[in-house]
Amino acid sequence: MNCTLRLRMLDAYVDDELDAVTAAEMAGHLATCAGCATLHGQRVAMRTALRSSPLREAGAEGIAEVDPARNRARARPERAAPDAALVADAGARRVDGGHGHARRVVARASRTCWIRIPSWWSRGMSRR
Amino acid sequence: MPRINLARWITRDAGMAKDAVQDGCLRAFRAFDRMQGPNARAWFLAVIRNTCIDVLREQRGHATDEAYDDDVHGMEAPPESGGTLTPEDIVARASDAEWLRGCIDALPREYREVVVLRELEELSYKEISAIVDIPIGTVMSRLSRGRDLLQQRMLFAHKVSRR
Repeated sequence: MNCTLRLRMLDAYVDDELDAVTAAEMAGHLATCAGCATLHGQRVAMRTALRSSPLREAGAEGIAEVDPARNRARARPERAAPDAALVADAGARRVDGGHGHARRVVARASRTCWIRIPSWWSRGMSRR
Repeated sequence: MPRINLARWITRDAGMAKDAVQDGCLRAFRAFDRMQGPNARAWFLAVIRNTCIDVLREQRGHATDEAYDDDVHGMEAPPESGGTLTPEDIVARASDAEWLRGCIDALPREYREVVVLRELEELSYKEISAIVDIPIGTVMSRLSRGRDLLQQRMLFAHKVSRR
């Protein structure tokens, strides 16, 4: 199999969608072919960049700008701390243009309790 | 909230995305008993995607399937021999979310939707095939071409921003 044929499968290899035998053959080729290895490096970098970017929140952000009520609803946590940290990370990146300070905000968010416990529940617990 | 993100990426407009998600939720609710396949998430995203395309057609008054045309979509992109992006360049530039959003938004819809479903929603080829209603082989080729185009656009935008 030449490089042209292998490159057709490069994306499936990066996405882990190849069968084990073909994936092993591709890994062996990438270890010896500098040209294919460069393209593979670019693909992996692009995937890493996209998946670590705050763009996962982009659609929701666009909705929030149009509908303030939805924005308020979105501020209520649907899931607990790890996702709250991601939201804070995305927010921090948007605020500072994508550089710096995200870690500090994430650290603060991870200590924040996002689940509001009603007062009647606390009173019930303290009586037990 | 993958349904909202997907609608935003397909329509490229927050208002239209909102309309499409509302209509799509209603359609999904009405058609819930006719749900096909074991993957409810993929089915629901397929309903949202189809609704987005209908909303686009209604609002723009014409078919919105942008077939890829090198003369139109390839115009901005530099020839491949014009330079390459190192992995470090890609990661550094992609940290600017607005810039990256512009690069993705510039892709024709047929490539944009598979790139978004794979890279941002992290769906498998099989799930993407079910949502977009195309064979897995077509998912592979669209994803490959879509990433090529995205890489070219990143390189082009990278060069422009350096001027």
